[in-house]
Amino acid sequence: MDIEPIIEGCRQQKRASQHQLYVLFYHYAMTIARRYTAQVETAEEVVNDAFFKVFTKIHLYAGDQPFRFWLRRIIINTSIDRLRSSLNAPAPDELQPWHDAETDTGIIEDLTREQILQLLDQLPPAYRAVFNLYVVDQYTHDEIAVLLGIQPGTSKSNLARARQHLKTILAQDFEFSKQP
Amino acid sequence: MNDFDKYFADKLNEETRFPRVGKNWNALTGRLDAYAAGVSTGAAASSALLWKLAACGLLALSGYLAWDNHNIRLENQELQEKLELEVAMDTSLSPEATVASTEQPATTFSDAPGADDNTSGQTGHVGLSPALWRQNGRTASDQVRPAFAIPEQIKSSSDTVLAVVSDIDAMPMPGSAPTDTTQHHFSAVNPLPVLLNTLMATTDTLPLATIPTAATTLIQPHHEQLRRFRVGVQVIAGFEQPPAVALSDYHGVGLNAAYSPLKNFWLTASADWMSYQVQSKAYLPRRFYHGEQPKKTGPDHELWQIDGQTKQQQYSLGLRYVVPLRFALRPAVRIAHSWVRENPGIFSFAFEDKLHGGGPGGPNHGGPGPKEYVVEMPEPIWKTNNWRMGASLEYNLPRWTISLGADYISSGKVYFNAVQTYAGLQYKF
Repeated sequence: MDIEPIIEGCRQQKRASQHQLYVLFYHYAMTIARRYTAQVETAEEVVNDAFFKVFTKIHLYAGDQPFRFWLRRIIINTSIDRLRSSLNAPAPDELQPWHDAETDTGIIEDLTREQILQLLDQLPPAYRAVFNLYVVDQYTHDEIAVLLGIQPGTSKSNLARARQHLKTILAQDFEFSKQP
Repeated sequence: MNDFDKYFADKLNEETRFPRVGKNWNALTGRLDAYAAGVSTGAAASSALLWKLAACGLLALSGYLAWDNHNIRLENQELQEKLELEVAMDTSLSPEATVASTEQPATTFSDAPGADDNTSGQTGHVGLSPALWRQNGRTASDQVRPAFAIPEQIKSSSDTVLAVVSDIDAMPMPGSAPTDTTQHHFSAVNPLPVLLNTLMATTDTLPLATIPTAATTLIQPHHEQLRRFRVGVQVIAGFEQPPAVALSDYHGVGLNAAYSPLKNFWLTASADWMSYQVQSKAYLPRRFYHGEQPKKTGPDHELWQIDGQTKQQQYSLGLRYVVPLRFALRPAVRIAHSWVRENPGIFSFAFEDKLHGGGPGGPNHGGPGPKEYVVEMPEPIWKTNNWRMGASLEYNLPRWTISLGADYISSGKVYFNAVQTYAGLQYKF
């Protein structure tokens, strides 16, 4: 679908065009925002903040990249801004490793997206942000460091801890599910 | 990327359907409207809060002043009653009681020398003007004390004074030969001490001179005739709040009328005609232009400038309360609802050909490019749910009222907020 006329209408502050663009990319934006926030309501607020920036700064979109990518970046930045106050919160006590770090990937294949989101919700905000940025959104550790205001080394260690947490939680849930 | 990360990435990148698209869009629309009006939510809220606080403060001050004024009226009423009571007590005292308080029978003084009157005693005068003691329009038959009662002591002492004065007259001038007649008197009597002693002895026993009092007639304060109707004109200057870069201040004139069903309360109606200029380098927010804004006139054309003018009519109905203070300037507060009709005039959209600039070297050599103009003229629209509240000072003449005031006008749909100042002249009838 050619969205150039819709974007042009948004440049002219036409409300109908803005509505069209909002409806087209709402679910895409919510998918991204939900990964960074622990609740759907917070994700809705992040999406609205992001679209507000899109519509008020639409003149900065030069058209040299797909609109989707530009929107994605805005949503990620907005999510990080929303989480910024909690990113420096101290991480909870380290989970006791239940099993070896290696986890049967077969467990992950059986999980739905909603279940994986629930796994992510159990991570501390800082770990979740680094995991999403690196694993899902393909940021480098240097870019993550700039975005979160941390050192690249901290980004790497947070990522490792995030993976360890996820594996531990997965193993706990798997063992629990095996119990009679 | 290892398998663990890959599986997470694939799962989390799957786009999912989420509910409440319409609800969230409505919430976003409100924010976009606020932005289009050139007002950020925080600034509008803080600005409106300040005005609300100022209005509350003004109302509180008015209430306190009204209460204070009421207390002063009560106090005045008490004093007036007290004064009336004292006057009534004074007028109840009879002339006979006053005369009986003196030790010597009084002699009524008559303004005609030698004339008799009905009072006992002798008439006489000591050279005093009778007009000083005569009351206007009063005779001896009035229930008042006599004009002036000269006790008998004075009468007798006056003869002594006259005798002494005659002796002084008979005294020879210094250097002249004394005569037999005067020498006896002069040698026997030093007239001045005698005169003074006589007068002092007389005054010691004189009853206190009583100033006749008249029953006081209370002078009622002048009340201005209540004129319930007013009609007038005003000039207005308005300022967008917060100030918008693309919008000029707006000015205009108007007519107004008012009716007072109760004292100090006025029902007001007004019609104002105003206009303002718009100039912008970017597409206009909906607040300033509600029509279709034209697209670029060419692939290499960019919007260069927008110029336009908008006329605005405001029709208001409201209520005004004039604080009942007895000062030259009287404060008033008012609240009103306004219907606003916005009538954009001709708007000119200028597009510049960026690529084919016309510089000194000719086409394609940079410099400002040729302009193309698109002209639009949208239809007028009505904007409702506008509320205004403000304060003013008015100076009252018998038939005219001059007022100066300021209102804060707030639009329910965040079309615009503004401060409007005005100066008005009203005729009272």
